[in-house]
Order: sequence, then C-alpha cells, then structure tokens
Amino acid sequence: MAAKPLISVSNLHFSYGENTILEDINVEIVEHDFIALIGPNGSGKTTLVKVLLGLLQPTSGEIFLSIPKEKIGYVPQRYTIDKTFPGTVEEILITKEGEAIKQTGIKDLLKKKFISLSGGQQQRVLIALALQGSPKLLILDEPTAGVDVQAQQAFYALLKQLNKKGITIILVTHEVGVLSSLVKKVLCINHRICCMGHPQDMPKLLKQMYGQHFIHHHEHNHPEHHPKDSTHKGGHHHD
Amino acid sequence: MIEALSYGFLQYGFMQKALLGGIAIALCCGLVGPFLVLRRLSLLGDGLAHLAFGGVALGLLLGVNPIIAALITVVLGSFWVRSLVKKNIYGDAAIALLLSLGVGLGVVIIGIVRGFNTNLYSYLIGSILALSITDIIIAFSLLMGVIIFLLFFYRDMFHLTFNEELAQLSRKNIPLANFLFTILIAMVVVVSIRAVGILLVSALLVIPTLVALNISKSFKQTLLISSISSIVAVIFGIIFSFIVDIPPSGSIVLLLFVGFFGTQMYKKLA
Repeated sequence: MAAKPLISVSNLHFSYGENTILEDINVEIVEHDFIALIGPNGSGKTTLVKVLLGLLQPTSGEIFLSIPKEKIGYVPQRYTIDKTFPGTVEEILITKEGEAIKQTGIKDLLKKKFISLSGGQQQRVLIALALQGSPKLLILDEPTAGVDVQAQQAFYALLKQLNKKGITIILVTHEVGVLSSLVKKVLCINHRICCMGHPQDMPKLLKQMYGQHFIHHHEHNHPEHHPKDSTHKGGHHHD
Repeated sequence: MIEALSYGFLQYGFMQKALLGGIAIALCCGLVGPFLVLRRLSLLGDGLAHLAFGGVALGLLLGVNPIIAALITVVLGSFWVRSLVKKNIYGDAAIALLLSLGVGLGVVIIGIVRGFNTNLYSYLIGSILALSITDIIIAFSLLMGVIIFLLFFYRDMFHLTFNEELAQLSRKNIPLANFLFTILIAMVVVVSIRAVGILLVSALLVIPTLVALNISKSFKQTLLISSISSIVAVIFGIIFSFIVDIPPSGSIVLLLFVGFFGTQMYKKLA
C-alpha cells in the first residue's frame, strides 16, 4: 500500500516584493519519510519551511495538509533564541515528565537556564519541546549548526530513532556528509527544486546543484559514495 | 533614612499618595518590562512616551484631559509601529518615526499656543508628588489589569519572548495576547508619565529588567526581581527626594542605576 501523503505542495511561489525566493515548488511528503532539505545559502530552504508551517503566506500555489497543524513539530535554529533569555528548561517545556524528556535525555538539565547549555543540549531541549506536542511530522531547521561532532552523532541517532517510531522528519541541513547513513530522501533546492533522490546518489545530486568543484571536495571526504544513475532531475519524483 | 522617618514624611498626604501610586506604577513597569526588553522592544517605551508628549500637547490645545489624549495617541501609535514592522520596516526605525512624530507634534503645538509650557514641563519630568486620588485609582486599576493579563496569558507571553515563531505555531492565543499587550504597554507608559515623566519612562520599564537579568536564575525570578527593584527604587527615590529636596523622578532613576551597577558588580564577582 502506498504511503499516505502528509503534505502536498503544488505550484508554490513565494516572493518578497520583486524578489522571488521560491518558484514552482511541487513536492509531496509522505508518512514515515525522512527527508533532508539541502541547498546553498539563500536558496529558500528556511522560507520553504516557514511556508509549510504557515508562518509565511505563499504568493501563489497550494499546500495540502492531511494532518492538523498542531501535529507538526518545529525545531527552529537555536540562534533565533535570545542570548539573554533567562528561562530554565523546565519553564520552557510543557511538562516536566513524559516520554519526550526520557527520549532526549534532558532530565538532569531541567533546572538549568536554557542559555547556559551547550549547543547540543539546547537542541535536545528544543526537540523535546517539539515532541511534547506529539507530532506526526517534525521539521528541523539546521539543528546541528555550531554543535560539536560528538553531540551531532547523538542527535542524528535520536532523529533516526524517532523516524523508526513513525515520525516523519524534514531536516534542513548543510551537513551533507552524514546524510547517506541517515535520511531516506534528499531534496535539493535553489529557489526551485533542483533534484530529489536517494542519499546514496548524493554526489550526483550535489553535482547538479553546486557544480563540479563541490563534488570533488565531497568525494575526497567521502570516497565510499559513488554516483549511480537513478538521479531525478528538474522536478519532484518519488519511488 | 532614619532622619527622613523622623521627619514623619508619612504624615503628609501628598507623600502617602506618591508612595501608594508610585508602588502601583512601579509594579506595572516591573511586570511588563521583561517582556519588552527580552523581545528587543526596550525603546518602544521611550518612543511611546515621546508620542505621549504630542498627545498631551494636543489635549491641552483642545481642552481635553491631556492624559486621555495621550492614551488615545499612544494606543494608536503602538498599533502603527506593529503594522510598520509587519511591512518589513526595522523595529528601531519604526520607533524612531514614532518618537519624532510625538516630539514634532508637541513642539509645533507649543509654538502655536504659548502659555501652557509650565503644564507641559510637569509631564516631561513627572510629578509623582502631585498624584491625586483619581491618579492612584487609575494606577491600581491598571495594576489589576496587568496582573489579570499575566494570569491568563503568562504562558503565551513567555513563549512569545522565547521564540515568536514557535509561539505562533504552538499556542492559539498569541494574536490576542499580542493585541492586549500592545494596549497594556500604551496604558502603562501613559500612567507612568505621571510618576517619572515622559523623558524617564523608559528607565522605569527597562532598568529594573536589566537589574533582574544580572542576577535571576529563571524567568519567573526575572519578573519578581524586576518588580521588587522597581518598587524599591520608587519608594526610596521618593523618600530621598523628600530629604534632599530634589525632583523624585531623577532620584528614582538614579537609584535604578545604582541597582544596575551593583548587580553588574555582583554578577562579575559571583
């Protein structure tokens, strides 16, 4: 049986005045997906996320949600939190008990100020907050930016575990090196959808989006990745 | 201070009224201040106070109660700032617009009608020692409004301060909380003008929060310390002004500065 679509986006356009940020976006996100949303800086990744969340209104096009908006959990970039914010972790969370706190391992952090935590700990608090709303879809905007490698690994393991439990995940990221072992699909955008494919096809997908220079760099760092021929081009495609 | 007590300052009706009204105003500012400062709206109080200057002048010109004229002007002004920000004008630029409009309007009216400069001066530097019973009733009514608002919308305001986008997604009452908070801030600014004057209102809104942020260990503590430091500054500022015969608004603000530098030192040493 085909997986149930959670979000269907058709002919989506978004612009700030005359500045077109998103153009002709057509994509479908289905149940249990784990999608990495990648693209260069300023390519419209965060704008797409905000349009999907309903924080920004599209200039034209349609978005169909098959789940209530409350069932979408959002983890914003942690840099959006004010550095002087005096709230403690337990003040931020909806409850001090529950599965979300166990899953994210933040029980010992409850009494601490959010701003006193490390980058990795802050991300775990933000994800716990999102999980307390029992989401069916979790959208994370560059969650590992500025987080050390060890904390990143633990964070990715947590995401994988959540996806196994049935939560659909959209991960906006620049960390393309880890995607092949983490996500199920990669969606590349640069104002419009450049390509969508399997993470194993990363080198080819990156080549399409960033050009030859980036691909050499990527292959140098990840020699195990070899391009296959199943890359889709110029639109949205699914298996 | 003992000397002041021996003066028996509380036997004076104007001192009793100043302290009562001052405490209510201080508590209002101490409770709403953190939500302004942490949302990077510290200068909104200043902008609205300067707009109130235009409103007061307009009221005096039209023969309407200047405080009511200021209140209407300031409420309209605060919604105008919000709409400008939504249209992608920077918040600080929108506040600068508001501030200039208020001062410009006031100066033009003073130019047209000469004669109420003395009245206007009392609004500029405040006249807490001249509070009437009506002023005190208004201040306590506003304090009740602030407390009721926080009882109902504390979580919404907390999340708005933490992350506005997350709040919009997870909490249904955000538009209503934002709307009521805008009106409340306008009212707090106008009522505070009676105590510390247009020029120093933002000090009463901002400095107690900065004092609290230096030493608080949680958000609730920030609200508590901000309120306490605001009340302490107002009480001792009034008493100090009585002893050395200086304008109370100035001594209140200077005491707040002492509190700020004191807590800064404590923070560095701790």
